Amino acid sequence: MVAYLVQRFLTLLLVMLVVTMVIFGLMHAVPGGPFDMTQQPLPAPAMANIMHKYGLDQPIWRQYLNWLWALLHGDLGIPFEQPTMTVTGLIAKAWPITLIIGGLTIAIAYVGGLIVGSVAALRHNTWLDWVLTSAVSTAGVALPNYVLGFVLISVFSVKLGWLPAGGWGQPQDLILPVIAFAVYPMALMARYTRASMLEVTYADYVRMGRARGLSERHITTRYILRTALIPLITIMGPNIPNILTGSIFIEATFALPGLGSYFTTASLHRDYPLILALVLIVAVLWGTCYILSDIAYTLVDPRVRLDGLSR
Amino acid sequence: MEKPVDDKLGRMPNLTRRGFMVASGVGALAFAAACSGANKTTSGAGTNNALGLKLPSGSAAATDQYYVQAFDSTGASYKAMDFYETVYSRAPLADQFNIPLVRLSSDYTIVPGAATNWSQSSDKLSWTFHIKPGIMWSDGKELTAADYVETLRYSADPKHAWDFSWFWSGVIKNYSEAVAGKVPTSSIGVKQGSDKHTLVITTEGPIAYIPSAVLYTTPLSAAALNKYGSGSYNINPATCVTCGPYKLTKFDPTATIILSPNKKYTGPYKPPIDALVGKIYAGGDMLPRFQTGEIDTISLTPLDLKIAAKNSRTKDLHLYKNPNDFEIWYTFFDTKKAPFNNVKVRQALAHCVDRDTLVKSLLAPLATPAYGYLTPGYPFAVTDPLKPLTNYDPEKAKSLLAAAGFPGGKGFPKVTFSWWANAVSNTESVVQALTQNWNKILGINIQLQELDKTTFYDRMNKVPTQIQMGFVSYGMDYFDASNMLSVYKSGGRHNWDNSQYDGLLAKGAAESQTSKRQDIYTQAQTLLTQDAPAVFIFHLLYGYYYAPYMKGTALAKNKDGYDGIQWPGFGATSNSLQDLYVADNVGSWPRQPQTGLF
Repeated sequence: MVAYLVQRFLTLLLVMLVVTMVIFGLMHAVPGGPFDMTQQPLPAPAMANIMHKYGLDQPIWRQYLNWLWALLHGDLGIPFEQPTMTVTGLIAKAWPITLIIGGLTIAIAYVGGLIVGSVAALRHNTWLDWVLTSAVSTAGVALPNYVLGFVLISVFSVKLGWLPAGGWGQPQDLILPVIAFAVYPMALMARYTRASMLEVTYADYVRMGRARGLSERHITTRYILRTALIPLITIMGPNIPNILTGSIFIEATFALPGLGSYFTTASLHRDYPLILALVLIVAVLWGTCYILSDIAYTLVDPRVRLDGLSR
Repeated sequence: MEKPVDDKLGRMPNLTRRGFMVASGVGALAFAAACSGANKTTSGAGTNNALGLKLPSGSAAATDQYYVQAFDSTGASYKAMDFYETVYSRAPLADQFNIPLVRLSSDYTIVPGAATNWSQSSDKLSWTFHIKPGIMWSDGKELTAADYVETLRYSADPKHAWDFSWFWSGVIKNYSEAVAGKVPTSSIGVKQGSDKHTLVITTEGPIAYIPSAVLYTTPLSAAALNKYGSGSYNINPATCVTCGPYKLTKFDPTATIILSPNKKYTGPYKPPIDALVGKIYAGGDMLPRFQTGEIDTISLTPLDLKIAAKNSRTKDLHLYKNPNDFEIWYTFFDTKKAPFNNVKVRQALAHCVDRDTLVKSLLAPLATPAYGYLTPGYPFAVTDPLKPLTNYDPEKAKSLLAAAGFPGGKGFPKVTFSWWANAVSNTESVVQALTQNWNKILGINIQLQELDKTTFYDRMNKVPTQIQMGFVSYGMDYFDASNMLSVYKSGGRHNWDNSQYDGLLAKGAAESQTSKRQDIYTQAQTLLTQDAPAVFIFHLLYGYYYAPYMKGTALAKNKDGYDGIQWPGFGATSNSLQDLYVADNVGSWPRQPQTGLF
C-alpha cells in the first residue's frame, strides 16, 4: 500500500510539473498581458515601468524558474489583480466558502442520489420508479444549474422573499446555492445507482443468494448495493474535484465570494500567479481523487487489487 | 345563499380554549405580518446626522442614512481606494478620502472643491490654485499644497509605475521625462506657490483645459504617503487617513467595502448620507439583489429593463438615464492597409448604417444614434452639422464603394470585423446587425470574429495594429473635448494620421476663449466625420433604478435632460454627495438592514 501510494504521489508530482510548465507557456502565448486592458495604449515608458515592477520584463524561462523556486519555499506569489493579498491568502479566504458549498452538495447529492436511485431500482416499473427516475432524475440532469439557480431566486427570493438572492455570511445563504448545485449530481447519481442496481439484481450470484434463502435486506445491502457502488465510484472520481473547486455559474448566480469565479477572472485578466495556483489545486485534487477512487475500488470489490497492496 | 350574520356569531360559543389560542396566535401573526408589510414612516427631518448636518424635510432617521451600491468584480479587479495608487483597478467607493481641487456639478460645470479659485498666468504657461484653509486630515494635519505636490510626484515615479501616467504626460512640465526616469520627480511642474495654500501647476505649453483636468487631483496625504511609501495605506482601516466625509471601516475587495462617517471632517460640504456600503459580487444577476432590497440602486442593461417591466415591484419605477462617461461605440479601421486606406470605402460604410433603426430595435431606451463623435451635452459637441456626412443613404454608400473601385462589392477583399462581448451595450446583436446590413447592401464579405476583451485590446494596441476593423467604445477621462478627440490624434489609439486634425487639437487646447474653442473643435469633429477613420454608431446611455426612498436633487434632471447621479458619480469629485438622502418612505421597500456602519 505504501509503495503504491509513494509511486502514485511521485507520478502526481511529475504530472503537476508538466502541467504547470504547459500552462505557463500557454499563458504567455495567448495575446494580451495583465496590463493591456486600458482604454488608451500606455506610453512605452509607463508600460516598461509596470512590466519591470511585476518582473514581466524577464525571459519567460526565468519567470517560470522564479515561480517554481518560490513555490518550493511555499510562496505562490502575489496575484496581479489583488496585490494587497498573497495568492495563498486569497485562496485561503475564498476556498473555504467553495468547500462548504461543495461539501454540503456532495453530501446531499450522493447520499440523496443513492437513496433515490435505490428506491427506484427496488420499486422498478412502479409509479414510484417512474416519478423518481423520469420526472425527478431526468429533469435534474436536463436542467442546467444556473437556470435552476435563477428559478430558485425568482421564486424564493423575489416572489416569496423567504431566502436571500445571494451573498455570504449567514446560514440561510447556503440553502439555495446548495440546492441548485446538488440537483444535477444527485440526479446523475440516482440514475447510475438505479441502472447499476438493476443490472446486478438479476445476476446469477444474486439469484443464488435468494435460492439459498438469504433475506432481501441482506441481498440488497451486501450483494446488490455493494456491487452497484463500483460504477458510482467511477463517476464520483472526476465529479468531486469539480464540485470542490466550485461551480462558476453557481457562485456567480448567488454572488458567493468563493474560488469558482477566479477560474474565469484570472484567465480574463491574465493573472499569471493566480492561474498557476488554480491549476495546481485542480491537478492535486484530480490526482488525489483518482488515487482515492482506486483505493475505494479495493474496499468495495475484493477482486480488485492494487500493486503492492495486500489485504 | 348567504348565511345570516347571527348564524356566524352563533358558532363562537363552540370555540374551544385550544381553538381560541390557535386562532389568536394566527391572528397575531397575521397582524404582525400586516404591520411589517405596511409602509413605515421613520422621519429624521430636522435632526442631525453623524456629521452634524441637519437632515432635510422628508428624510428618514439618521440611522437609515446609508447607501448600498453593488459592484461586479467579474470584469474588474479592486486593488486600492485611491486614484493615485491605481486608476483602472480602484475599488468601489474609491476617492472618498480626499478632496480634489475642483468638483463637477450635475450640469457639468466645474465648481470649487478644495480650491476656492484659480487663474492662468499671463504667459499662459502655468495655473495657480488657492486651497481653502482649515481642511483637516484625520491625523490632525492640514490639507495644503504639499499634499497635491507629493501626490503628483508619486504618480510620476517609475517605481510606482502608475497605470494612468499618460494622463499628465505632455501636460505637466517634465512629467513624461520623470515617468521615463530621465529626470527626478521633484522636477515636474508642480510646486507650492507663495504660501502653503497655493499650488502652482506649470504646463508644457499653453493649456486651457487644466481646470477640467484637475478634477483628477484627489490627493493622498503627503505625511501618510511618506510614512507608508505608497497609497495603499488607505485600504487598511488602521492606517487610513482621510480629509473627506468618510473613513474606511472595512476593506474586503472580494465581498464588502464599508465607509463610515469621518467625524473629524472639516471640508466644504457635508453629505446627508452617513455611510456607504459597496457590495462586491462575482457576477450574477443584479436585478434580484435590487428587488430584494440588498442594494439601493442598480445599473441596468436592456435585458434587465425587459425583465423589470414584468415585475410588480419594479415595473413602475422611474428609469433614470444619463450618459455617465459619455461613452461612444464606434467602428474603427486599419487605415494604413487596403481596403480601408481608401477614404471612399470608409465613407461608404459610414453611409450604410441605419443608426435610428438599430438603436430603436436593439438598444432603446439606453442609447442614442451617433452622428458625431461627441455625445450631446459633452463640451463642444456638435451633431446636426455632421449628419449629412454620415447619414443612412444606401444609394450614396453604393456609389462611393463603386468610386473606390468595388462596384456592387466586386473585388472587395474578405474583411474580419473583431469585437468583444458587452452586455450593457448589447454588442453581439449590434455587430451582427451592422455586418448583415453592410454585406447585404454593399455586396461585400465582412466576417465577424469575437475575441475576449484582453486579446481584443492587445491586438488593437499593437503597432502596427492587428485589427483590420473593430468595434470598440471610448468614455471620457475629463470633461473637455480635448480629451475625447485626442483618441484620434496621430500616434494615438488608432492609426489614422492627419496633421490638420492634430493642428486643430493643439490649437483648441491652447485657446482660452470658449467661442473660439467651439469653432476649432467643430472643425475637428467635421474633419473626423468626413474622413471617416471611424463610423460612429451610438452613444450609450446608462439606465438606473433607485429604490423609491432614495431622493434629492442629485437625482433630478440636469440642464441637458439627463437624470440620476451624473458622472463622475457619487464621490468626492462630484457635488452629488451633498444632494442625496434616504427619505422617510424607507419602509415601503424590502430594504435589507446593514450593521456596523456608524
